[in-house]
Amino acid sequence: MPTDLAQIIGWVLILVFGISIAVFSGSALAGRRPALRPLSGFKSLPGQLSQVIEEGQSLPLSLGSGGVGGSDTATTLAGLAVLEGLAEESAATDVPPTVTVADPTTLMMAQDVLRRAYTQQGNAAGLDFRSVRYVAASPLPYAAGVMDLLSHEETGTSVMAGAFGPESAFIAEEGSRQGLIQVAGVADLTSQAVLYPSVNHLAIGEEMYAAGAYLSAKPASVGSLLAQDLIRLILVSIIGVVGVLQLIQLLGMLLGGAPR
Amino acid sequence: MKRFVTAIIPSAITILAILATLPTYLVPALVGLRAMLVELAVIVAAFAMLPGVVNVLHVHGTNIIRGRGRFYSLVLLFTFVIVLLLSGLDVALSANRVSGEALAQQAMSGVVMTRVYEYVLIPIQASLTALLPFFLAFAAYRTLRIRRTIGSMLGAAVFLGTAIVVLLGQAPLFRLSGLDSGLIAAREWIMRVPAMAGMRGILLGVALGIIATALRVLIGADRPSSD
Repeated sequence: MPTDLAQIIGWVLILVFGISIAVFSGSALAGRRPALRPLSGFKSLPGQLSQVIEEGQSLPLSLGSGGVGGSDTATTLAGLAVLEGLAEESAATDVPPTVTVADPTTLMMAQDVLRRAYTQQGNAAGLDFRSVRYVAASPLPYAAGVMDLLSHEETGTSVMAGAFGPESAFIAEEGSRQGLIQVAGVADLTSQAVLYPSVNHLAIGEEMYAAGAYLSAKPASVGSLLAQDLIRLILVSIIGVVGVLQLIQLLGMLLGGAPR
Repeated sequence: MKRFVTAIIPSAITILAILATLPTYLVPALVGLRAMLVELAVIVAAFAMLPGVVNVLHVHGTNIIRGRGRFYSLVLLFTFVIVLLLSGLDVALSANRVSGEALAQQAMSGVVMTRVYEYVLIPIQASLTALLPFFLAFAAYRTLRIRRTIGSMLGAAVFLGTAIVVLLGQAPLFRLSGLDSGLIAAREWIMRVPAMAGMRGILLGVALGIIATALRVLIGADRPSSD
């Protein structure tokens, strides 16, 4: 059993987090839909998809170099949630997004997400599995492959959602060169830094994991977003209180140690 | 029955795997169970490479037949076949010297693959990485030019200004000249105070996002692998 105080606090926090998700999800399931804080990138995405579909173009979605089963699993699942949000409309209009991946496990998951959306729309025969492409097995060749795709694809928008590193700068640069509207959601700090000057909408930090709540509005996603906000508020309050206490202690030391 | 196979069984396996893995972090005696589950996952993931190869052949084969991006696809498939053949030859030549696991290792890190990495992949990747600062500088300049609102322009100006100070503070020329103590101090302060604070804030958010995703899968609210 955990004996370290930090470990115990961590487990308690996870337990509170889990309970909060269950409570908020239940509340959302009962029909109470709270207003979500605005996230420009993911909020505008369905509209951009509609525009792309109207113009008969495709929507390139890069899921990054992460896979399911490794350390990037959660980030890749968040990217797949973005695909899930887009897949339904794509299936209804028979214009699938062009999905690029750099891990075979993500390839299979992405194909499955599209298959489910097409089956639900009764259009299973209309799905072309080649709309999900395994571009390369490592980040830099993957970026080069996506750059090539963006330079040939007729589209006005490019979306990046998943595990990316600094190589994402190359993809964003190609997108800028093609004059695309770019939406990105990444968890890696370096990637966020290099994407900041290039993309139109950037989801930073936990915003990436909130995509599901904006695109599919599933009760569980909305519930977990609210729980995330609650836990963050608790953590920020704890950090604030500890900071003030430390400041008071420091002031006390300075005043107490000052010569009379 | 179909729903049982496509929805309930995959979700049950996922939840059971999480429930079996979580206690291993609380009870050190169960670490072996975690290692076994991770090993199983690695084996399953290795099999996923096969559909990956089929996908590459399918996408680029169709491109060649339809004449769409034909040159790129031809070069890619040609290179794929050459590396596969050379690697196969390498393994075949080693078959009389080594066997079993060592032979499998030969396919991954034998002479051919090592040469391909050393003389093809690494130089190309190094060249691409070397281009990165120029891409970023140009992107930062374009950001300043494109952004129209005062807030976004201010953000872009802070970004560019900080990047210049950090870059100059790091440059060996300035470090050696002895005239740059202010720049070095500014760079160190930026890295230690605002950058570190921002980084910790973002990482905290990312950690919460990861926990939320994992918990959603654990309670069965998110079923990424089932109907």
